[in-house]
Amino acid sequence: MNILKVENLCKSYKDFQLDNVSFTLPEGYIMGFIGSNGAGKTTTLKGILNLIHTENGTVEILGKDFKANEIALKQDVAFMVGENNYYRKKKIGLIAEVVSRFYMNWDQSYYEKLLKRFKLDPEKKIQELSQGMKVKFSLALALSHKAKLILLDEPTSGLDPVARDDLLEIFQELIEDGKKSILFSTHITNDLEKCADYITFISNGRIIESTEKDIFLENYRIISGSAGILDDIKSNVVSYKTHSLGFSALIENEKISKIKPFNGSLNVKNANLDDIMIYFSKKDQGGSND
Amino acid sequence: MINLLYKEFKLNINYFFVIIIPLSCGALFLIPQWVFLVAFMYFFFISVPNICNTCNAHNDIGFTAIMPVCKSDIVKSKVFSFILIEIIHLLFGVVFGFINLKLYKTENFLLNIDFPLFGFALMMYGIFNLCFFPGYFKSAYFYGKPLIFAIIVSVLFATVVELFAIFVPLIHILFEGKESSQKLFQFVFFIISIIVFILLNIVTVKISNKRFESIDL
Repeated sequence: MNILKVENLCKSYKDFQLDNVSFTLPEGYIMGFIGSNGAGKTTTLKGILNLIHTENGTVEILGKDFKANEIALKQDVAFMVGENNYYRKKKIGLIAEVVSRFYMNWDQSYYEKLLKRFKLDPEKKIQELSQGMKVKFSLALALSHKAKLILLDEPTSGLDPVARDDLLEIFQELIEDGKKSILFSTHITNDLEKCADYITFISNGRIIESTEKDIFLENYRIISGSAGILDDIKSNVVSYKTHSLGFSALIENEKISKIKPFNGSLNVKNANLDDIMIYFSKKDQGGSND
Repeated sequence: MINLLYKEFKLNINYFFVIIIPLSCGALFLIPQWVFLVAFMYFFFISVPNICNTCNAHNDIGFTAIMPVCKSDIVKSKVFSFILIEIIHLLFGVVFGFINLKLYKTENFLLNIDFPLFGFALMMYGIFNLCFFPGYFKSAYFYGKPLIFAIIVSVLFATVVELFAIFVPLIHILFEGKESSQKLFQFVFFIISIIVFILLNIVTVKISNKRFESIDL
């Protein structure tokens, strides 16, 4: 069952457009939502939660139309923004006490267990928490009201590697029961290589691909070779970079066959998420970096 | 809705603006011969900008919008929280006004401490809310211009009321008279003021809702 289904979400700003964003997230999985800064990740997440007025498109959560059932469905959804600077001067115990009143399924004893597990002191103020602790507090709130879909906008940005790894382990534990799903946006692709099951890649407001991580990575290759053959293969690559030793480019795996004549003079290697993001952003900026 | 009001007073509005400022402003009624409508204005001179600033610093609207609440309830909770503080200001005004009357036993050179004064104060608060909230909810963030506009309109209203009460004989007699028919009129006027205050706030919520619904968060 799909816990989240986004179809043809559109939103236009003066200088940016979210263009028919569609993807689905099955129950019990972690989806990484990747894209460069300004690609439309936060806008999409806000569109999902009806925080912005989309011009077109539908969002279904747990099989129900979100706009028509917004209040009821929000009981099952948690959303966390990266900076997480809400009520900075207030104690987390007080914030939790206020928040608990809004959720029918709030489990106080579970919340207290989570505080202990995350080593959070309810007497501490938000401003006294590290970035990682703030994310953990948000997760504690989300889990205590039994959220089934957890949307996290850049939860790992600003965290040191140890805190990031710790958090990613928690994410993996959370979905172990198969009933919760996490969609988290990030531009730190290492995080996704560790824990994501699915990848949705957005570039310049358009979804380039939304699929299982392994399939996604399998779809692209990095090729490199001497500058002399670049003109002949240019039309088949996503984008390319030239340098003193020649060029390197991102190519869709299925197009490798089209450049077969040049295979002897090309190096082909697997692309990672960073490569894919970088070359697609080059394409959006005009194709190449000569 | 109750939960949202609870959140307002627990997380956004310091008790200082709920008790201390209204109490201090009420105490201004102990000044003999004064413009008592000014005592109610300190709410929007001091409390409103501080409360709005705190909401912005707390990212309150963004946090509230992701919880299971209607956008219209967010608007209502903001307006109701102001109404509650305005009523507290009024109640302290009544208490200290009563003490003023017992202490000095003289008439005020401007509006007397009586039903019309509190009626006009309610109207002034209603006008303030109507001028402030629809402007504020155009962005749910910027409060400066709506606040300045609302203050100007409210102060103008209070000035006109105080001047008319002194210089227009008919109004002076109606609002300051001591005969039983005039007293009855003054009481009826106070009841009408309550109704006007309620109506103004209903309009405030309706317009603010429309504006808040139309913005992206």
